[in-house]
Amino acid sequence: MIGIGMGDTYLLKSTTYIGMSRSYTIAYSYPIFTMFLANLFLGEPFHYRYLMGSILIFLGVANALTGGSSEAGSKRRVGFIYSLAASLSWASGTVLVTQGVKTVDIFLANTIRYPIVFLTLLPLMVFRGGEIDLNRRDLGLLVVSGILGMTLGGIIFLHSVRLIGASKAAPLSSSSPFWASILSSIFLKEKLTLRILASTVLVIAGIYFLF
Amino acid sequence: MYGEVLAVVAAILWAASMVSAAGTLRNVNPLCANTLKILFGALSMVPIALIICLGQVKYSTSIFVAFSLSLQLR
Repeated sequence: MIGIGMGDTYLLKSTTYIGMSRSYTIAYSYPIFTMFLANLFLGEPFHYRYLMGSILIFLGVANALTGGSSEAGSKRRVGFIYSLAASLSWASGTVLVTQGVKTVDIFLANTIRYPIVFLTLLPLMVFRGGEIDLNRRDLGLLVVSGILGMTLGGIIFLHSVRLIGASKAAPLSSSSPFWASILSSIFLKEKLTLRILASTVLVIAGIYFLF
Repeated sequence: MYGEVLAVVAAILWAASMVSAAGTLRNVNPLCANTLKILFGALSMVPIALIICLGQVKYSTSIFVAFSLSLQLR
């Protein structure tokens, strides 16, 4: 619920303020928070290379936030807070999942996870969501989004893990913000700046140090 | 090399998922977009869950750990 329910909602909310490429890059700083939370609550060891990774991620996020952009200062601040909330939610979700799978059957947990998150979000959507003007195009996009991200993405990542192991597959899959920047410039007509690309590269490089 | 390509393809798919959801934000609020995205994602997993339950595909526990973690790596 915290990871995919709250985290993804915050990310989408942030997108409405600062755009997908910037908010996705900032939200992808979540391995830093995961590392600190895992160290704090799960007692996982802290390595010096993590510090290097954290510095690179911090520089990437700071770079994404500064510089000339069309958004007003307050709008940018709100967008940053939402993307940071997404990052914290994903980190908390990852730590909770790590803890949860120790006592619960993985298959069972994974099968029931999404329907539970949906049923939890549904009343919130009905009572707080306001009016919904959902046309066929939007419905199609959401179907595509669900299938691509949650089903196909997961299965393909799974095959990758089987072939090269999680230690190699996870850092490679963290290139997602770079692709999000490219895709949002093509499909959402967001301006792809060198600054955003540089931030994305810094965040991805930082994540490599954290694995 | 094939495994590396698949990991990058997964990253592209996760990015495409978020970008397509963001494409609806002019008419749909973020909470609604995410709720429906999760609904459609869950529905699309039903056939896979059925196949697994029927024992046609054998997955080891480690594979499910990886799958579960992969869903967090977005």
